[in-house]
Amino acid sequence: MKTFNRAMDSTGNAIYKFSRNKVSVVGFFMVLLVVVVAIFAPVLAPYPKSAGALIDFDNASKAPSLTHLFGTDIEGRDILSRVMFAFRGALVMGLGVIAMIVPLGVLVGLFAGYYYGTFIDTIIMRVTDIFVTLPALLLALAVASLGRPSLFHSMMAVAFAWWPYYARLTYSQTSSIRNETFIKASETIGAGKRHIMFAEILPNCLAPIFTKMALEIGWVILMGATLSFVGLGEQPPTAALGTMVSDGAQYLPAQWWISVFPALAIAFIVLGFNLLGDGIKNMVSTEVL
Amino acid sequence: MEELLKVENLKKYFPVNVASISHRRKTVDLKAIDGVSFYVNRGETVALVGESGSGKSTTADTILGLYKSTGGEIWFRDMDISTMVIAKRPLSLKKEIQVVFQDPGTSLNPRRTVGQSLEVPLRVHNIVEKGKVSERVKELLATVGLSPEYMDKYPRTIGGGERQLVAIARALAVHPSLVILDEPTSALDESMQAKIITMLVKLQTGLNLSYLFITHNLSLVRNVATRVEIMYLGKIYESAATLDFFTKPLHPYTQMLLSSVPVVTEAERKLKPKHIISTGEIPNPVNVPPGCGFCPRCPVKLKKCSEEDPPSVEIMPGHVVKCFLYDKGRANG
Amino acid sequence: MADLLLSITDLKVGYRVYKGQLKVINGVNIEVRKGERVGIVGETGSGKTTIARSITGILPKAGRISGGKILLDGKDVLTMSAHELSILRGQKVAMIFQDPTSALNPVLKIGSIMSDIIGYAYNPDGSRIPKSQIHETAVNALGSASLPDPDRILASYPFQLSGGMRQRVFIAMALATPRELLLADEPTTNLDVTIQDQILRLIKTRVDERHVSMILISHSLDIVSEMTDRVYMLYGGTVVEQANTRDLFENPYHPYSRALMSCIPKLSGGGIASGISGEMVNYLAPGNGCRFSSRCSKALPVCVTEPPPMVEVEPGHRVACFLFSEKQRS
Repeated sequence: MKTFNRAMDSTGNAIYKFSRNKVSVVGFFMVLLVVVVAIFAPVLAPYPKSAGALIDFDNASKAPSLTHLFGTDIEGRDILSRVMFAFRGALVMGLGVIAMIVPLGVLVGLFAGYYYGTFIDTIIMRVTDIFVTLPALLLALAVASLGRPSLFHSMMAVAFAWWPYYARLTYSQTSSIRNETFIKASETIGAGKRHIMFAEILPNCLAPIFTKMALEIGWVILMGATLSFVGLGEQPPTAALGTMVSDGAQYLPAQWWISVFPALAIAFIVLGFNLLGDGIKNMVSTEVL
Repeated sequence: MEELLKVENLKKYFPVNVASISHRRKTVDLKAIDGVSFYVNRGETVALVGESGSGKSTTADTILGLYKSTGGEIWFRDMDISTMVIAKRPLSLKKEIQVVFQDPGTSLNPRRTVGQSLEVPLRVHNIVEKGKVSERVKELLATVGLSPEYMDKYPRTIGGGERQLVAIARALAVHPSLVILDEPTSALDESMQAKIITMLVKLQTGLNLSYLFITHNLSLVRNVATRVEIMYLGKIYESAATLDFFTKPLHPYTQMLLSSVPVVTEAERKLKPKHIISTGEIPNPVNVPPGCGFCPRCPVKLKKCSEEDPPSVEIMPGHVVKCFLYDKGRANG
Repeated sequence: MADLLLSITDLKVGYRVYKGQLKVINGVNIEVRKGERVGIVGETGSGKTTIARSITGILPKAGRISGGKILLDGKDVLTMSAHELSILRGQKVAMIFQDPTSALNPVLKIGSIMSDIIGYAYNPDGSRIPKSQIHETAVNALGSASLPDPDRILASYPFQLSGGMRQRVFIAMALATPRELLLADEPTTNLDVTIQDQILRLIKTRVDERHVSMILISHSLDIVSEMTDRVYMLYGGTVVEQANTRDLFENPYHPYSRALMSCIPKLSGGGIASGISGEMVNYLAPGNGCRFSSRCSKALPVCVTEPPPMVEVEPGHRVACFLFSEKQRS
C-alpha cells in the first residue's frame, strides 16, 4: 500500500474525502448559512427591531408576504428577523455546551481508560453510568427548573446531562488503544504516564470525538430548543426558536406561520449539522481507495 | 564472553476461565512459558525459534517486564530483574534492554510524526540537551539510512520497511546493550527484509549490540544467528550453535520444522530432512497433555513420551536436546 | 500443448485517487493452460492482487480498467454482464484469500456459509446443486480437505477453529464444486511454517487430482517455487520475466529477478544481499521506460525512455529487458 499512501497528502486529501459525498457539502453550506446569519443578523435582518420588544398592532398576525417573508406574530414582529436573531442563541447553546462537555468528558474518559481494570476505572465509570441511566431530557429539565431560567442556565442543564457520553466514548477508545503495540513501545522506552495519556493515546481518540461533536451540535441545539419550548431557556422578549414555536402553538392552524417557520428553522439547523457531521466522519476515516 | 542476559527456568502462567464438563467455571493456568532457560552473550545473536503458541513472544514481553513472571529468574548482567515489572524498573535499566516489535503498522503511533516518535526516548532519558534534540533525531535517521525528510512524515505515508527502520532507530536512541527483535521482518517483503537485516548486522558490529532474535523463519536464522533455541508449547526442545543445528538437527520437531521450510533452490531442497513430514497442529496451551508437549504430533514417539516430561540432554558440547530418544541414561526406551 | 484456459492480453488497470491516476498494471500478458499451475510473484505494490481482482471483476470502486482483454474459455471477462460474472464466480473461478479470518463471516456458522456458497454454485452444465445434496457436498468437501469430524465443523463458528483449520475450510469451499480455475492470493501468509506446508500440499494434491488450473499469487518466491510449473515475475505492474519455475529460479536473467534471488536467505547459508536500492515505482508518473530502470545497476539510457521488449532468451524463458535484446536478434 506504500504507493497508494504516497499519493495522499493530508489536508488536500481530507477535503477530497469530504467532498466525495455531495450531501455533506450541502450540509457544510447549510451550517455556513446559519453561522453567517447569526453573526450578521443586525445587518441582514429586514426588521432588526423585531428581535426584541416591539408592539406594532397594525402589522400583527400578517400572513407571509413579500414585505414579511415569514409573516408577523401577534405583537407585529417580523418572524424572519426574529428567526435570524434566534440563530445566535441556538449557536451559543450548541457550541457553548460542546465546549464545556468535551474537555470534561474526554479527560474523565481518558483517565478511566488508562487505568482500565483497576479501582480508579471502576469508580469513575460507575459514576458516569449513573448519569447515563437518567434520561437526558428529563435530567436537563430537572436541572433547568432549579433556578431562574436563562440561556446560561439551560446550557448548564444540557451540559450536565450530556457530558457522560463523551466520557464513555473516550473511555472505550482509550481502553483499547492502551493495549496497542506503540503504547507498549513507549512504556519500554520509559515514557511516563502523563506523556502516554496525553501525547500518545489522546491524539488517537480524537477522530471519533470530532465526528461525534459535529454530529451532535444539532441535537444539543434541539435539546436547548426543547427547554426553551417549555419556558426554561432564554426569556422573552429575546428571540428563541423553541419559545417562538410554543408561543405560536396556540394560534395553529389559522396563523400557522408563527410556529411553523421557527420549527422549520430548528429542523434546518439540525439537518445541516447532521450532514456536516457525516462529511467529517468521511474525512477522518482512514480508508485509502 | 560477557554473559549479558540469563534466563533460568522462566515461567509465565495466565489464569483463564474454562468451562468444565460440570458446567461450573474453573480457573486453569495457561502455561505460556513453562521452564525456559537460555543465555545471551555480549555481541551474539541468539535466535528464539517457534511457531504460534510456542510462547516466544511472551518470553520477550516477560524479559521486557511487560508481564510479571510466575516463576524462575531473569538475570541482566549481575542483576536479578525477575520481579521487576516495567513500571518498577529504573530508567537506567530500561535504557539497556530495548525492543523492536513485529508489526510496523502498530509499533509507531499513527498520530505522531516520525520525528516526534523519535524524540520521546531522547527526552525521557535526557540523552541530549533540549536544543540539540532535533539534530540528534536527524543523526538517528541517518544511522538507519533514512534522510532527514522523514522527520516530518507520518507513519501511514511511509512503507512497512521504513517504519521498521524508524522503530530500530527508536530502540537505538537510548544506546541499549540488548535489543529484543520480535519477528522484525515477518511482515515485510524479501527485498525489504534483506535491507533491514543487513542494517541490523551492521549496527550490531558497529555498536557492539546483542540480539535476541525471535522468529519462525529458519532460512533467516541460518544466515543471521550465532545460536538457535527451538521453542514449542512453552519449553525449549533443542538448543545449539547455528552450524551444528543445521547440519545435525536432532529433535523430531526440529526435523519437522526443517522439512516444512519452503525453499527456492535445488541445493537447499537437498538439505531438507525427507523422512519427517508435518502433521497435526499445536494444541491449545490451556490443555497441555502430560509428558512431552510434542508427543501427540511426534512420528517417532516412545511409550514413555506420553507419560513423563523428557530430560534435556547435552549430546555434544553446546548442543542440547529435550527428548527421550537421546536419553542414554535410561536403559529401556 | 494443452488447451488455453485463461489468456490475459495487454491488460492495463489503474486507480483514481486524489492526486490523479495510479497507472498500476501496464500491459500485462499472462496465459494459463488447462491443468497448469502458474505463479505470479511480486513484492507488495507490484500489482498482483490487482490482476487477481480484475479476473473476477472485484476491483475496488476506485479501480479503472483502461485496456486489454481477459479471455476465460474464449469469453472476455471485462465485457461480461453482471449475470455472466456471477456464473464466472459461481462455477468457473474460485478464489482463496490471504486471511481466512476476515474472509469468513464471523457471525455465521460454517455450515451456513458453505451451504450458501454451494447453493450459488453452478455445475458445468449450468444447473445448480439441488438443496437436498448441499449437506452431502459440504461434508465431502471438508473431508477432502483432511478435516476430521465434518459435522462438528459445520456446526462451528469461525472463531472456534484454528487458523490452519479455517484455511482448510476455505479451500474446501473453493473446491466443493467443480471449478476450472483456482486463484490463490497469498493463501498461507499468516500461517505457521508447519501448517503452511500441510496446506500447500493439500492445495497441490486437490488441484492436480481434479485437473483444476491454478494461479498462485505470492510475494514469497519459496512458496511459488514449491507449488508451480511456470512463473511470472512481476515488478511495478509489468511482467519482467517468465519461465518454467525451475528455470527462472536456477537461472534468472532479469536484473530484478537476480537481485531478488540474492536477497532471499538460503537454508544453505551464504548470507543475504543488502536489499535493492531505490524506491518502488511512482504510479502517478511512471514514465514510458522500464519501470525498474531507476533501481537497476545495469540500466542503459534507452531503458529510461523506451519500454523494454519481451525477449525469448531460452525456449520458454522470456525476459523484458534491453540487456538481452541482442539474443533475440541472433
